[in-house]
Amino acid sequence: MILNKFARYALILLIIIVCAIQLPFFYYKTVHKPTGSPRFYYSPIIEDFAIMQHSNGKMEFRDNQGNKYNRRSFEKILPFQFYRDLSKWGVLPDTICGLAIDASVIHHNSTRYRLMGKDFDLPQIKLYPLFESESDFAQLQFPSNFFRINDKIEFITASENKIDEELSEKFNTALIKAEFKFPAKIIAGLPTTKKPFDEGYFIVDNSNTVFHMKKVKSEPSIVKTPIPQDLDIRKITIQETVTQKVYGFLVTNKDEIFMISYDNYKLLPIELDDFVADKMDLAIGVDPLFMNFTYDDNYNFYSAVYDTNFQFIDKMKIAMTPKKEKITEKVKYALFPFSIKTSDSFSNLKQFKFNMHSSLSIVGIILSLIIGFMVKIKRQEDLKSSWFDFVIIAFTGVYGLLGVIFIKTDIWD
Amino acid sequence: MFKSLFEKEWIKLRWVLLAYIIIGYAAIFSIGSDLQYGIKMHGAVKYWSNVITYHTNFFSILKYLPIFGAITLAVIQFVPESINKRYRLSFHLPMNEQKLLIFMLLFGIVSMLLLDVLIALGLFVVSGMFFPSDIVSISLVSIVPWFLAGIITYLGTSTVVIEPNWVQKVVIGITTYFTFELLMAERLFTQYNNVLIYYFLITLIYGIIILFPGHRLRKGSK
Repeated sequence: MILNKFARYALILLIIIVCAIQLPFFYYKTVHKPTGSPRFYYSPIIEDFAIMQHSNGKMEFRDNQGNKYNRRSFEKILPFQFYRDLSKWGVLPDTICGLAIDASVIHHNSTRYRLMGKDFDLPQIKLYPLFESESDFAQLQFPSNFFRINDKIEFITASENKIDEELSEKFNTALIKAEFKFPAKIIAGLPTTKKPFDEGYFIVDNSNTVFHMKKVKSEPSIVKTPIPQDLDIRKITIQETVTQKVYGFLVTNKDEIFMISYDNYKLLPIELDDFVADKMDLAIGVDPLFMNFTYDDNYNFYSAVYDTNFQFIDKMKIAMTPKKEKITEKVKYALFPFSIKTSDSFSNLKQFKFNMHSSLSIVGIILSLIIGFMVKIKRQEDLKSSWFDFVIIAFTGVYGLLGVIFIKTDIWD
Repeated sequence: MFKSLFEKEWIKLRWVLLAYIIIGYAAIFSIGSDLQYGIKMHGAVKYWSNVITYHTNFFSILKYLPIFGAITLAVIQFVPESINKRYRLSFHLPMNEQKLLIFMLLFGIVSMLLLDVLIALGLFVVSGMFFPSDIVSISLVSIVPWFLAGIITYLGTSTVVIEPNWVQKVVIGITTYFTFELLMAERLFTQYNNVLIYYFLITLIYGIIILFPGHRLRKGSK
């Protein structure tokens, strides 16, 4: 009998778990509206921030002083971002801040980097293609093999699914000669042919030394970089761009961020207020004069601008209504005492996170208890013997109510 | 007693189990054939690169096999018991109904697990012919959520079939659907590694729920 009773509670527990996952999500999909995330630019014309934001169903253009623009005048103060339109209209200035420009100059001195919060736990298959960095051809070509680093480096030829002993030995010897300590902790590169050239991989070895590995004319090129070993590196992102100013950037476990310069791997620190690497998305827009670091956690939007010599220029922040203060969230907290999240916008991994909601949940729990009581009275159930059903509702609110109502109690003896 | 029950379940389920493994190996053969063709046409480098960079799932044909297998298995095993409440005849056996139901479920689960292991072995062999161990091991880990979803579906469907009340049948069916569906939402390999333990615990909870409709059948509840 006890097992049978237990089986009913197990069934109710499953209903509670499924409801705690699905109902808040269904509610979110029903009531959620776009937040109108702002997009920040830094204008060299007005020397201030220009902001583009969806509001009340239409796009608003303004600057940091509150001046409003139409789309055309907004684009005119941002020649580096909208130079194609300005060229078409014949209004692209010849010089900006003393710099002679045309569409080609802007194109070749502009780039964009991205670092998403979810990049930090991206599941990886640890096999990497090592491109020829000084190819005789203009277009990069995929190599015939992929490398992995465990207690040594191994190149595996894809067509044969076999280790290329000769190439592996060549790179192994070069790495050992450069004092590389196996295995690798981080291997960072951009494994695509859709880039203008190849800079190989930045590899953090087992003693936290950063090495720069490339294949040059089929030979290994290993550089032991002067990047400090005590940085506690969390991630390195490499992105080859035509501007050739920085290899990419490096993030530490203390959420410090550095650009890795082409000048002997010099680290250029970037100060970003409140930056939490794995809980924010970061975009870096580089133009001929400025580098604009914009980052957000979906509710707080930041921008920090540096010049191309990495000198700080300006920063700003726009805070949207915090999640907890939104009416829709408050209704959610009243309806559902807790929720189970199985995904996270800043993670690539599946989650199973239990989130307690606020004290507002008491409203939903009391209502659920009343409904549960009325249903049991109507069904003429023995309230005394089903006391545990009320305990379930008291702890799980509407989820427990659904379980208790649908999975009726039974005659146990 | 257990030997007789084993024989009864074996006679009832042997054809569906045989069909499961034949379809499983047809899928494995199809994976091997697709890999051979894809690599021949596009080159091994391109194929490897897609798997490594974009997590192209070359074994996705296996995804719903455990779900369909589980539903078929549960229906064939438990529908004959539920027609005209035939299951109640077993109350005259010298064994209590809880043990009987648990034995039947264990027979189904162990059979499914054995066949899943054989299918995983097939995937191991076929993917090992074209890919290095780094990709093979990740493929094997990535099919675990689908197999777990299969076990949950088997346990949920069995409970739905045995349950005498239609409203409760629907509620248990919906709950089962929304549980196994959670395990089928992968975009990247090994995305579920951190949470498999929670779904394993949920599977254990599913393992016991059939006792409730079993009890209700015995009592003649509606």
